[in-house]
This record gives sequence, C-alpha cells and structure tokens, in this order.
Amino acid sequence: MGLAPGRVETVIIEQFDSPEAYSEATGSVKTVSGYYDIPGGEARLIEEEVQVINSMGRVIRKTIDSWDIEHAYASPSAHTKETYATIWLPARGHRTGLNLVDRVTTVFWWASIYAQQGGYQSYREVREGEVIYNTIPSSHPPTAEELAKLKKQGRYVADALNIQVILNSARSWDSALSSNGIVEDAEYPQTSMWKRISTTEHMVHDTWSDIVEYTIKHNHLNPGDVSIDGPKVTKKPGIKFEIPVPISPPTLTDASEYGTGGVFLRAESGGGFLGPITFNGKTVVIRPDTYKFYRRVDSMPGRSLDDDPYNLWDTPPSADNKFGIPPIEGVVTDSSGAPLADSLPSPVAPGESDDTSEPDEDHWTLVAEIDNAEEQKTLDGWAAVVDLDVVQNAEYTYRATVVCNGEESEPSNELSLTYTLATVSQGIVATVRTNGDGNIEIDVVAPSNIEVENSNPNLPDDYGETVAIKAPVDLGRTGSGEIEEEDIDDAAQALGIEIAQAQMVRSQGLRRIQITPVVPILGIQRGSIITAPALSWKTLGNDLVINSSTVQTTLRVDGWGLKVSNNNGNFTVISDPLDCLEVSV
Amino acid sequence: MTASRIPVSFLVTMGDRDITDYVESCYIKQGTDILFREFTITFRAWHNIQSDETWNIWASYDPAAPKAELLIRNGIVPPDRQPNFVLAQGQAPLVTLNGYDYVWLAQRRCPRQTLVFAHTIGGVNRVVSDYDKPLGKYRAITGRSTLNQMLEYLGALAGINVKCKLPVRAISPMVIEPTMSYWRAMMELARPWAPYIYYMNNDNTLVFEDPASAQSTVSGPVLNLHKDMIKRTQGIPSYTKTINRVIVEVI
Repeated sequence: MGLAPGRVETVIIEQFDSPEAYSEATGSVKTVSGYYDIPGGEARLIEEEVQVINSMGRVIRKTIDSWDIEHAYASPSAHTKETYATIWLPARGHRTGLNLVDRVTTVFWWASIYAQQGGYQSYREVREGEVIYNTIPSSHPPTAEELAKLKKQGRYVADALNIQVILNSARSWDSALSSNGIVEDAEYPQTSMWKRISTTEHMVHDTWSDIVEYTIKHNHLNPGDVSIDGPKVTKKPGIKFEIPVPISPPTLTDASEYGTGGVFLRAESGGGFLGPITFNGKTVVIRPDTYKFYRRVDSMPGRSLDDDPYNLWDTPPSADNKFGIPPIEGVVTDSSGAPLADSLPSPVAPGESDDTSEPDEDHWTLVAEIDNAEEQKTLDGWAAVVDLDVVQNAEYTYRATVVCNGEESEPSNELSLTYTLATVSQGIVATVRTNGDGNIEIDVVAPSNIEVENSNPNLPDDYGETVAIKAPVDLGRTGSGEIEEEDIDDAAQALGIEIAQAQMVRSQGLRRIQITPVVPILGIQRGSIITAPALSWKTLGNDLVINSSTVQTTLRVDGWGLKVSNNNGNFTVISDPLDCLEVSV
Repeated sequence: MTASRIPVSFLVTMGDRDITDYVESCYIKQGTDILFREFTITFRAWHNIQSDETWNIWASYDPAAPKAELLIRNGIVPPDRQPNFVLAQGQAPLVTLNGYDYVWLAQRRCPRQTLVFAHTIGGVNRVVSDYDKPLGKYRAITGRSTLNQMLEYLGALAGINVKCKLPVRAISPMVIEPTMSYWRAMMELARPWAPYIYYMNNDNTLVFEDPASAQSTVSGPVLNLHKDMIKRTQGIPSYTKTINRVIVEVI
C-alpha cells in the first residue's frame, strides 16, 4: 500500500451528454481523485473514482482506480480497477443497484534498470468479472460420456449443482453487452457467474544491447486461448562516454592577399588524436567539425591606439548619446555661498573615461567559422575563407582553431600581412543627412590616408579634393508600397557609395585638349585664344540615358599640325587625328 | 575615320624660287613643348639645293590671294640636317627636307662666349671674381635691372623681337655659360613668371605673357570654334587628382 491520499478533489462535469456504451444516456460525470502531495513537489494520484450519472441523478457506472505506491518517488507496484454497473445480470439480480462486475488487478515489478524509463516495466494483470453464459436445458443429467465430450468442446457443465443445464458461449459482461447479448428476461436461459476472465503477463528483460518484451495473454473463457506477443526488441538508448581528448590546433597554411577582394585564409589538419589508442590497428583521430578563423588588427592607418584601433565600436559610444542628458555639474554651497567640496558624485557620460566596458583583451575577432571542407573523414581536414573586412595598408595577424564536438582547440600558428591591394572602396564612410532645404545629402568620405600611387611621378597629384554631385534620383522608387525611412537611408547610403566609388579613384585632370577641326585653321598660331563651344551628347545604355555636356571654355592654343598634299596642283588638307589643334585650358 | 580633303592654296618658296608645283606634300607642326614651328616638305627636286636657303610657306583659302597666311617665315634647314633622297629611274629625285622657322635660331648660341650680367660694371667685376670657374672670354651686360629688359636683350642677341606682358621684376646678377642657348636662358628666366610663351611669326616676336597680370592682353583675335567646325575633341590628362570626399545631393 504505501502512500495514502492526503487530498481529495471532486470534479463534477454537468451536461455530459455522451452515449454511454453499456447503458442509458448520461447526464453528468463525477470524478473524485485522491492525491498524495509530495512536499514541495508534484502530486501523485493514489485513488480515483469516476461515476457516470444519468439524467435522473442515478449512478449508472462507477470505476474505482487505486495505485499502490511504495514511496513518494517510486513507480506503482500494484494497480486495481474495479467497475460497478447497474446492468441486468441473469440469474443474479434485478437491476436494483450497483453490482461489482469487473476487477482488474495488476502487479508490477521490474527486472531492468530501464523500468522507470519509457514504461519498460514487467507486470501481471488479472481480470476477474461477471461472465454471461447461455444455457441449454437438458432433459436428463448428462452422462459421464456426455460430460467428457462437453468438456472436450470447452464447455462448462455445472454438474456440481446437478441442474440439468449446459452452460454455453461464455462471454464477458462487456462483450455480451456490446453485442446485445444480455436478454433482460428472467425466463430466458442465461446465467452469470463471477469468473476469472483473463491473465496477461508482460515481461521485460534486457540484454547488453537490447530491451526484450514479451506479452503472454491467457483468455480463461476459451480453453487453450493463449497468445504470445513478442519478443519485441528495442535497442537501448546509447550511452555517450566522453573521454577528454586533447584537440590539437590546425596549421594556418595561407594568409595572402586575394586581389582586391580581401585576404585568403586556409587552415589544415588539426583535431583530436588518441595517440596510444588504436582501433583495428588504426589510430583513432577525431576530425574537426569546423574551423574558426580569427583576425587581429595590428595597425590600421589613420587610426591611433586611442581612436578605436581595432574597430570594436562602429562609432564611439559617447558620440551617440541618444538621451541627450548632459552631465550635471552640481554645486552645493554652504550658507555663506562658498561651494562645498565633493558636493555630488561627478556624473560620467557614457563612453568616457569611466566607462568600464573594456574591450576584449587580446583583440581577436572571429572572421568566420567554416565547415570542414574535406568530405572524406579519413583524410586531414581543411577549410578556406576570404576575409573581406580588411582595409588598405593595415597590418593584420590571423590564426585559426578547430572545433570538435563543440570543443575548441588552442589557436594555431599566426600569420601576418599588410594588405595593400584594396581599392579605395575599403573603409568608405557614408553619412546620410537631410540638409537645410529638406533634400537628402549623402556625405561620403574616403579613408584619409590612401597612399596615392602615382603612375607618372612627373605629374603632381592634387589629393584631397571634394566634389559635389547632384543626383536626380528617386530613392523610394526601388521599393514597393510604403517606404520606410530606414529603407531610404539604406538606399541613399548605397547610392552614395556607388557614386563615390566611381569618383574616388585617382583621376587625371583634363587640362590639355585636342581638337580636330573639319577645316584647316590657317591663321592659328601658338598662344591664340579660341573658344570651344558647349557640346552636348547623349549616351544610350539598355534603359539608361546619360546626358553629358561640356561648358563653353576659353582655350589657348599650345600647338597644332597641318598636313597637306598636292593633288594635281590643288593642295588638300589631310586632317589626321594625330595632327590637330592642341589647346590647353 | 577616312581622311577628309579640304582644298587649300599653298605657296612654297625656296629662296627666291617658287617651287610650289614641285611639292608633293607638306607637313607643318607647331609643337606644344617647343617654341618654333617645324616643317617637313617633300618635293621633286633638282640637283642644286642650297643648304643655306630660306624657306617661306604661305597658305590661303582663296587661290587668287595665295599669300594670305604666312605659315613658315624664313625657314631654316639646319646645316647638319641631311635631306632624304628617293631615287627612281626616269623620275626626278624625291627629296624630303625637315626644317624650322626662323625662331629656331634662338636655340643657338655664340660659341665660347660667356654672358655675365650685373647691374653695374663693378657688379660684373665682383661676379667675375667670385665665379668659381674660369670664364675665359666673356661679354658683360649692364644697364639693365628687370626681367623684361633681360629677356629683350637675349632676344636681340638671337635676332628675335621680344614682347613681355609681365609685371616688372628685378633680377639678380648671373652668369650664362656658353653651353646654354638663348632660348634656354630666356626660359629659365621667364618660366616661373610667364605661363604662356608663344611666338608670333608674322612679326617675328616672342611673347612672354602672364595671364594674371594687368599687362596681359588677348594675343590676336579670339577665334570662336563653332561646333560644326569640330570634328573631334580629345582630352589628354596632364595632372592627377584624388578625390577623397563626395557629397551627393539627391534632387
């Protein structure tokens, strides 16, 4: 028995209009549950009584469940279910009240450590109950031969009662009810008896790898009706043994400039090696699942150590004081007006010197975590990635680690390089703002320290020029529907960078112009002033039209060429594109 | 592009002789980095070409007035320049000559003569005594104190008129060695102050002009190129620039 219910809950469900399987229509259901409350824990059900009540308030059927639980956390050791019903029991009652018609007694035991996991539990279930028999009247008591014959047929003969009745077609009360097998007539040849109906034995045992279940069911109403279900074999859940294996780091074999695109990184091998342990003569190697690449910024041009050298913050936190609360300069004076020392704790704006959010000490930034690219797990693993987040002329150091089963190795060797192949698009900062008249203005600034690689050292380089461009663009046109302000910001930023990348390449100023006139200009001489007209032309792309024009300029002739040939006494000018007017602004 | 042919009247004289009918082709070039014009002429020649002949080339749109524009004035074929002969059987030899107009003489220099400039004779003596190399035979230039005067003097030595449209500037005493041509000496003196240096060959005048100065004037009539007159325009970059900031205003 063990636990006893310390708390009883009663639940009555009214208007429970479901057809009752065995009897009349129902009106309500009353459930009385008895719980044992584990202190500070869950409640365990000890007893439960379910009453099905008809619309007249009469109990049609009643089920009492009870569990035997040894202690608060144990599995049930036994279970009993008793069913009472107001049914017609032939040769027994007259449906005057509730009769016990069924009792199922189950005794559990466990012979496996998995008993309490997933219901792997052995049990023996014995069902007793009322059994309905049809009887065959006989004119004479059966002879011994007839008795033997009847018993051989599996029929039960109540010879002890010496009534001349042959019991036939034994059925349990519920199956007799469900097939309308009970005739509520006292004259009808039926009788009922309390008999053992069935015995079910469920056995569980486990081998080293499997759980084996057998179910043997013995129906006592039909002699020889024994069915064996099983064996049902279930694999045991695997047990994971974790052996601490040292994971050796990979080798960073390549960290080189990958054109203008970034830095190419490649790491090889690494993983766990069980040195002394061999399996089938082979060394057990745990291949890496992923490779992690790390980057450290050693120096970045244009940034000092004080100025966020490792790019940990996009903008200094102090620059983005969203709350706009200025630090309070509190002064408390005494009665004479002289300020008192240490009047208030001095407030600190975020991001200033008392900001304690220290950046990571070693400044390694994760570039990427790449899956082991070697598909054959018997071979050494490798992975490669291109680090895109690099800035021209900055010095970087890279290293890699491997990850096996979530465990990360020590870092690999380190490779350093100075990235020099970037175009100026690296590190461009585009700020979108709304200027005074409401137009959007995109301010794009290149890194301030581009090394200008001058292909012609004789030509001076005017570095640091600013150009202003008016772009007749509808920024919202690319989207559909409602345009969010953030979308416009993104589109403006993309547009600004797009334009700036075209502008920020080192360009050459147009100071010397060649003009090929259609007629020779005979009076021209060096130093003459000429005016070139404003020219406009149109370039058609797929769906793009670029209208270009020049401004009318005053030019001074630097040089010219004239080539003529004699054609039967008439000299004609052969205007060669190379021999033309050279003018300078 | 097919070469277009525009009729133009030409007149070429070698010395006193009109050789226009013998000219096969002519190429006249005003270089951008040199002062003087260069001409290359190909003609059917006879045997007596004098090396010291002067060449004049006129051009005109109107055949009735062939001397409208003077393209080469008193052109010189340098004495060390050998004409190129193409000989074919039964034909007069085809000669190609390459020469320059008169201002090319500014390239030359009186040999073995050093020019010493100072404001006074005493200044010349100090320059000579302080000069660390032997001067040999030298010519003293005194009585001039400004850049413009010095340029005019050097031009006169080369036989060229010099016109300066420059502010008045004082210059220091100097020594011009015999290896330096008149042209280079004028360039070294004037280059920092005169961005525009050109030669007006119809009056044999070399002009030094600073367009920022008050003396600057338009040299000759302004020629307006109508857009129909322009067949082709091409820009040649002469300096580089790097833009580091772009402001895009969305309109």
